[in-house]
Amino acid sequence: MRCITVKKHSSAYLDGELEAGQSSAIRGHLRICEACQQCYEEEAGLIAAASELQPLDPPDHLWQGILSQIADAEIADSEEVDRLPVRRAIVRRAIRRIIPANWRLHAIGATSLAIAMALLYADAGSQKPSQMAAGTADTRVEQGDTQQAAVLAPKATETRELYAPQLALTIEDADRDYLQTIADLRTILEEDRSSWTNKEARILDAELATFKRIGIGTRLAMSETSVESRDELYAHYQLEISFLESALMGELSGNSGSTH
Amino acid sequence: MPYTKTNSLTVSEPRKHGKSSELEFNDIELVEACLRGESPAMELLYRRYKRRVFGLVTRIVGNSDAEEVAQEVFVRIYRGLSKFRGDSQLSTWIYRLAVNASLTHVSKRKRRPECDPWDDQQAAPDEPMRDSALSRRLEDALQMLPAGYRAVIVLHDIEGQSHEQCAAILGCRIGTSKSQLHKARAKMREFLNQSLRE
Repeated sequence: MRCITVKKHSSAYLDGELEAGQSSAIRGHLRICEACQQCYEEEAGLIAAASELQPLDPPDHLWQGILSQIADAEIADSEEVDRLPVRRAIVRRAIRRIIPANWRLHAIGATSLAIAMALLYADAGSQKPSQMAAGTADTRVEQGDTQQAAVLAPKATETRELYAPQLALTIEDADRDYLQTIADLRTILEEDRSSWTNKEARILDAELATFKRIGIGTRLAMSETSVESRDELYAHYQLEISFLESALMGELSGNSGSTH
Repeated sequence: MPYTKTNSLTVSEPRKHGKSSELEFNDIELVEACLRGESPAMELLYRRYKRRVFGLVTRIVGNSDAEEVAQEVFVRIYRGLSKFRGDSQLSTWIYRLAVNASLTHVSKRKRRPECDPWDDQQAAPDEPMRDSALSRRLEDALQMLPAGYRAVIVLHDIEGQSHEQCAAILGCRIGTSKSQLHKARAKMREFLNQSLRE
């Protein structure tokens, strides 16, 4: 056995973790190598001395200090409980801007216009099948059945002719509402930063960065005027709002957050 | 009505379980009693773990900050007991809190002006060691180690934890615990030899 091998396994040997054959080989080497024998003795002496170090008793006043800190923390808990409804109201107010299907409700206005115009065409005896499909598609969108709506929807150019400008405005409103709500909640959360531990701040920042990245990606990937492509984006926004709400209410556990 | 803060948790004494001796409490029962706010149980938990926590903290952060960190550890223990699910031993969970708090404290202190972490004025061992000079050299050498090495050597060689327990406490693999200990001991020998030559 070489010195380097003995050096590598010295700790394991001293802790009795080696097999009998290996231990015997190390003992054999120690008998004939003075340098390794000296290292071995030093390490053995160190371990023995460490195990004999005396336990350290804390000062008597430590217990009172602990009780005092616990008392302070519990009083703070009590005040936090009082603050919670106020905080909840602030958060709710920020979220109230968004009704989960807000943009769809607004879209009813656009749909009504489309139907009215379609009826006008019908009265005039010049209704086109694609325009009829547009009205049906929007009705289904209101019901949340976007897949069927996509199938029934007319080509984009034809749709735009009929009701796209108003729908585009509705979508723009909804986008703005969601983004403003998220910005408001993030601002409120930022005010709490001083009370977070470093670990909490790191976890939260990572989650928020993920939400932001995925939100931008989803937004870039979708069609600007397509109704159904909004579903994924708004579902993501709602998830982020829900996450922010939980964070503001102090309801997040260690592994909570986005499901991405 | 003005509120007067009290340190004593005897303000409300929930139901007692009638344990005649503190030895009758196992860790799970102790945790449950603490969660009910029973102050004797809280004090028992403190007495049961105070030396282990204080010793570990002192040897990782040094004497000057040991009291502050140990206090913080115990507050975290009591405030976090509801999160203890019994998946590991209570001692492992407590050691883990103590090691994490100590290492965090050391990493924060790095940015502060240097101070002697091993101050003679505080926390002297209970009884003199057979060779008090060796004891002192050992404690000094320990303080010269990087904090991570210090943690593993304190847990394994001083507190007598197994590598399995060290790995659970430090949140690493058993092999990592072994290799860290090997390196830590080599460094300790180096520092001890240096101090002998000086």
